[in-house]
Order: sequence, then C-alpha cells, then structure tokens
Amino acid sequence: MDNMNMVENYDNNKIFAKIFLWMFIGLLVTFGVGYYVSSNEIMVENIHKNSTFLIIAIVEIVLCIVLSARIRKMNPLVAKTLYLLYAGLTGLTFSVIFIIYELESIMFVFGITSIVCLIFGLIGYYTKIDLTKLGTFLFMALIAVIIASIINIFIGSDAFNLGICILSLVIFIGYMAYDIQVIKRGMYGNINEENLAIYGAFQIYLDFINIFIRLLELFGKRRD
Amino acid sequence: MKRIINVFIIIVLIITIYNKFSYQKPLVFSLGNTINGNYIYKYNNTRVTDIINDIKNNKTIDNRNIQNILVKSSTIYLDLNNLINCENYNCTYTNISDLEKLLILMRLYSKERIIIRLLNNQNDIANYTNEKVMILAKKYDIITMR
Repeated sequence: MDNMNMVENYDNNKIFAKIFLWMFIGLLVTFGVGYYVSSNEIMVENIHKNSTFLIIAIVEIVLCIVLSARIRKMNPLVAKTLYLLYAGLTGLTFSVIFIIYELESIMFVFGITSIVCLIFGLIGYYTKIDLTKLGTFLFMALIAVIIASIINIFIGSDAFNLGICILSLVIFIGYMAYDIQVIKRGMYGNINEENLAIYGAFQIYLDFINIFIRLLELFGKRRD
Repeated sequence: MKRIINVFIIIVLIITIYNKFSYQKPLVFSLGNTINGNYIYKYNNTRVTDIINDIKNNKTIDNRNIQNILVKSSTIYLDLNNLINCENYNCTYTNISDLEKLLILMRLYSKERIIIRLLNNQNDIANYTNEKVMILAKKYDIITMR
C-alpha cells in the first residue's frame, strides 16, 4: 500500500478541531506580537535593519525545516513550542504592517481572509475531486511566484507586483483546499495525533498568512 | 519543501512591504539647518552655488544621495536667513539668480512641497529680496513663510 495513503484512522472532527485551534493560537500570537511591537516605531526599524531581520529570517527557515523534518518523532510539547516561536518571530516582522496599514483595514482583511479560508477549507474537506493531483502544479506555480517576487524587490514595479499578488492568491487559496484534503485523507503517514494537529495547523497557518498579506496588498488602506 | 518556500515567500513579502514603507516615511530635507527632528536630512552647505553643484554631482548625505533625498522627501525646507546674507544689491541680484537656478533644479527632482522661510530683517535689501523670492515662489509653486 502506498505509504502516503491512510495509515492511521484519526477522528477527523477531533483532529480538525485541534488543527484550527492551534492555527487560531498561532495567528493570535503573530498578530498580538506584531501589534505590540508596532507601538514602538524605533523597535520596528531596528528589527528591519539588515542583520536583525536576516537573523530572524534564518531562524524562521530553520524552525520550518526542523518542524517539517522532525515532526513525526518530536515531543508534542517541543512541537508546540517551536510552532509558537515561529508565530512570535513572524509577529516581529509583521509589526511593520500595523504601521503602514490602518488597524480597521487590517481587521477587515483578516475577516475576509478567514471567510476565504473557511470556504476553501470546506471545499477541500467535502469535495470528492482529488485535489492532491494539483499538488505538483501548485508547487511549480509557487516557485514561479517566489522567483518573480525576488525579482520585483529590485524592480519595484507596482504592475508586476499586482500580477504576482493575484497569482499568489489563486495558488494559496488552492493550497488551502489541497492541504485540508491531504490532512483529511491522512496522507502525512505515521504521526501521532498531537503532532499532526500542530503540523496541520502550521500548514494552514502559512497558507492563511500568505493569503492575508496578498489581500492586504490589494484591499488594505494605508495610513496617511 | 512547500512549507519552506511558504516561509520564504512571507519573508520576501515583508521585505517588499517594508521597502515601500521606508520610502514613504515623512522625510524633510532642510537646507539652512534650522529644524530638528526624526527623518530630517540636514544640509550644512549655506552657499547656494555650492548646493547647486552638490545636487548636480549627487553628493552623499548620511549615506543617501542628495538626488534621492530630493525625490523621496515629502517636504524641502530652505531658510533664506542662513542661505542669503547680502549687504548690497549686486550681491542680492546674484543670490536671487542662483536661488532661481536652485529652485529649477529642485523641481526637476521633487514634485512635493517646498517651503522657503523669508528673511527676517526689515531693511530695504531684505524686503527687496523677499519680494523677488515671493515672485519666484509663485512661479515654481513654492510656499513662503516668515
């Protein structure tokens, strides 16, 4: 039997309840830290100075690699700690968003993102269409987006950024449905329930953050 | 791999947003060096002809090129009390002519607000200078203040 197919039978309702709880906790940490740090503009500037931001970025990538590679054998408490640490670090870098955009706008876009994620999450959960076949296509499109995004850091073209933004939205909305279906079908292999909840939460947390930032770029209202 | 790329994309997005933010900070370029505060680039050279040459040569102030500062500044502030100091009309004519060249050059780079603080003195030369500067201000869409 293919190792990627169902190995353990989980109670899906229980698993998804835990996943969404941890996703919510992660988002709370991120936005809470971001909002708190944004009250000190000098601190925000210090975070975004070259070496500090680079260190944060490296630590985030390392945490992601560790969570991805070791989640199956990791102590659940360690997994939760690493996940929350990642969410906190993202909050530090997120602080600039609270300075640039109006708070009401951020909350509005957060609401829109939640609705979008809910809709496509439900589609992923209930659809009989095999979304896992989309995985390769979405991944290739993701590579294209990241290359384009890096190029646009140097070009700084608003029109190009708009195109990247819309494409990214489509990709990550697709990934939201895809990830939910992968979790539901138990395609993560042999992993205990607690760690699956953290891992699943981490997956859709990342999808949520990407969708949120793109929607904020499109619909967010900047401060004067 | 997908998760790592997700994280990378979020980092790139934050960098992009921050870069936009750092260029939209309220930036004031002060010539004549009389105001203090955050996000103010002070320019210490008080000779108008030297300022013109520095702009043409794209001199660096606080690790930033002067042309870039002119482009990105939300406000450019010139204090004539520190830039023009004439005791005769010949000097005044020259300074006003140089000032006009400076304003043309600034308007080439900046479409934002330029404020000129007029001379405080009440003598004839100062009044004449202020009148001429106000004509220039109207011509180049500049705000004057005392």
